Amino acid sequence: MIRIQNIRKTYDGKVKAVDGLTLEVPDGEIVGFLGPNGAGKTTTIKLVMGVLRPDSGSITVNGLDIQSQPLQAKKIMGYVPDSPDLFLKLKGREYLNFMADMYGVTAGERRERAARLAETFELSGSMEETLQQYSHGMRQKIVLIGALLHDPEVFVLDEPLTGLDPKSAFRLKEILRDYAGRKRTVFFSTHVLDVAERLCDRVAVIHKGRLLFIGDMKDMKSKLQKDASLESLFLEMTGNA
Amino acid sequence: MRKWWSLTRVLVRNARAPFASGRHKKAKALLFATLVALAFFPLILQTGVFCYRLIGSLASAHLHGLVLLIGFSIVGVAVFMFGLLNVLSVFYFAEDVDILLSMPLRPSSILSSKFAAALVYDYFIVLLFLLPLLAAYGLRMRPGIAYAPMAGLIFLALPVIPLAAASIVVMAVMRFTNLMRNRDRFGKIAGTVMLVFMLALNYLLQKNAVIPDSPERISQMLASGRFMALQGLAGYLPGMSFAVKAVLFCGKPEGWGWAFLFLCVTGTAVALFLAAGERLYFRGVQTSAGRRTRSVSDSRVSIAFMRKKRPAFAAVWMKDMTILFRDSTYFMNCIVMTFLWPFLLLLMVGRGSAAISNIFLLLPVGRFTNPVLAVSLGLGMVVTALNAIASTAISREGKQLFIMKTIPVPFGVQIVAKAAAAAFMGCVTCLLFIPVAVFMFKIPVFLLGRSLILGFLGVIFSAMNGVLLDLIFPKLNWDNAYKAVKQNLNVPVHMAMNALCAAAVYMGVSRFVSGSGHGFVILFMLAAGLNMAVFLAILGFGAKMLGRIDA
Repeated sequence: MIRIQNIRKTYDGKVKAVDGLTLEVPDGEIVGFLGPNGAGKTTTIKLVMGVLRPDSGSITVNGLDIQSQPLQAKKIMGYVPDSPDLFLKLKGREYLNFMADMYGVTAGERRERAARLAETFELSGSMEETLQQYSHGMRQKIVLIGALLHDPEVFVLDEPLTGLDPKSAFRLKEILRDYAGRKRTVFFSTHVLDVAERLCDRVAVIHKGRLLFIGDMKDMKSKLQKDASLESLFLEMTGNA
Repeated sequence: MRKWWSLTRVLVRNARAPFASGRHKKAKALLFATLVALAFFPLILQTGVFCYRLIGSLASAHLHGLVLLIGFSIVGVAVFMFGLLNVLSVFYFAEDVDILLSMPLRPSSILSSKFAAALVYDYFIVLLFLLPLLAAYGLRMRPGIAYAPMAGLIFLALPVIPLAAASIVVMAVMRFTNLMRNRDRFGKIAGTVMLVFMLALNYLLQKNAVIPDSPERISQMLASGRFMALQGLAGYLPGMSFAVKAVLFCGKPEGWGWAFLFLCVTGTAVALFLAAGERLYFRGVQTSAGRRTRSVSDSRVSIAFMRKKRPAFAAVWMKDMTILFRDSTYFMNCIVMTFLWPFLLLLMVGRGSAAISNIFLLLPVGRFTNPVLAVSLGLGMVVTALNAIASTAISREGKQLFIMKTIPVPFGVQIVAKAAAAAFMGCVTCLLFIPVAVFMFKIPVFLLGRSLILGFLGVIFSAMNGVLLDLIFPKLNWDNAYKAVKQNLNVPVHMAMNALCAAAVYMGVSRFVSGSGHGFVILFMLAAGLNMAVFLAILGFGAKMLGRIDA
């Protein structure tokens, strides 16, 4: 479970990226994090992952505080960043071995999981190429595999479907559903409402760093008729999509 | 024309990175520019003085034009060699052709803009070598008021022909080969070839840098053919003799006639470049963008896919080493320098080896050991700073620094692993210095073991303080590895810092413990103490700094 409590983050002391956000992502649920560009989605995710330090507020992951117990918390989390352009000089195999080493994955586990995931995402034949030679979609897949190698309890993804071909996108959705089915936590950001509608148990909508709505899609649709600000946000998002 | 100008400005700006980021950006940029100017000033001054004396010596025999011919030819060859890399970088590695082709621009506009952008960077070479030559000629020969505009004209036009030649060569190679498929390998090979060429040129110039002091001596040198080799260079670059005659006769209408001819040849070179470019460049750059696909059987993947678990420290170290060796920019600027310094020292002092080899033996008996040990400790610090691995350890992560923060490995472990990569390469340099120490400086073998221990301690100290410096002032906002290493203020600051430390150690030893029998123990304790202090600073302060960086 991810518990975000009254978190604030400003850049250079001026720009409010996240403004008093409180949110809970329970086990066994897929929670989509929606918002237009610049709403504060990536900043929130980076705060959850411990990449950024909040100005105030707290974040716990399965009861572990990301600020005071960062190593324990990070060990149980898997993270897919918004840009997959990482370690481009490493080969696919080297990248996965590096990630496995970082999370202490044993030789047997890494061999079995890497082979299975590489086959799932059709990357088995590209493990001896450097990531620089990969297309954007292939890089996205290898980063996904790297994040799944240690079978994380909490899976955090920032725009994970960008660049994936339909087959791989479908398989990723299956993996996410499987995770939720095993009572794991899945929290991912997107600005594509259609994806959220099909995949998420609940959605959280953020705009200008503030949480506007949390609930399932049915609630959201009914609230849209009553809440003008949410409706305009929805129009903005669908206009962008 | 406006489009062309806008495009050229963008291409030049795109290839250039701000020297500093964050607060006090302008002050940092000014400091960087000052450091660069200070670093190159001795070279410019030395070249100017050398040219001044040579022109003076040859003027008595009316052979001063020879200096211009040789100078222009050397500049031409240097521009050609650097041009090969510049053209690669601006024309091929910039990866902007797709977007440029989609714009309403004529191919010739794109080509000429890219050429102009590459030319801007070649003016740096011209500044280093041609400026002192032209200044020395003006001061020594006093050719009159017409010299200033003529010198300016030659300064601006001289690199155009060699750069056009380099561009045509590169475009032809890239059009008919698939070298771009592995850019890093190509970059490493091209860079190494250029480096070897520059060293050979340096050696050649040193060997021929005998200043003739009498007409008889000039006759001897002309007869020996020493000038001929250099003169021969001019033959490969058309128009050089026109440029020389334009300068020689700048006070007469004849001189401007030669200048006009030189400009005609230059214009022809540009026209040839544009014609060749339209046929070679766009096809070459587009076919090279294709991705290589290689199929590996699934069985191989499942068996050899993953290796055994490795400790996090070793994994981070190995990852850094792999990237340092694989990325052509890091390889040329960090790894090659590791192997080059002992060789450069040999080259630099080669000519005066007899005097230098006895430098330590000249010290009074009993006062010989401690200075050698102090130099070893200082050398370890300096060579590690020179390879720029430590001072860019965090900067090299760039926008992917956040990975360091998401993995469940203590920051201290990751930072020390990065310092270990710099220390490893520093130790390799120290080991390569052994033959130099033994054969050139005649360091007794009994001192080698102690020197090496102190050298290694110096290496570790420099590696750790370099990473610490980079943690305090990381340069993370870059889009090209070159900018992370070559345009990083931390590199010269780290070098200066460790050179000062080395000098302080040497002076301290000379003053306080030169005759002591416990020199090694004292230096060992000092180095170990410094290392422990920096190590603790990394684990505490360094880890805190890494945590504070917003990635």
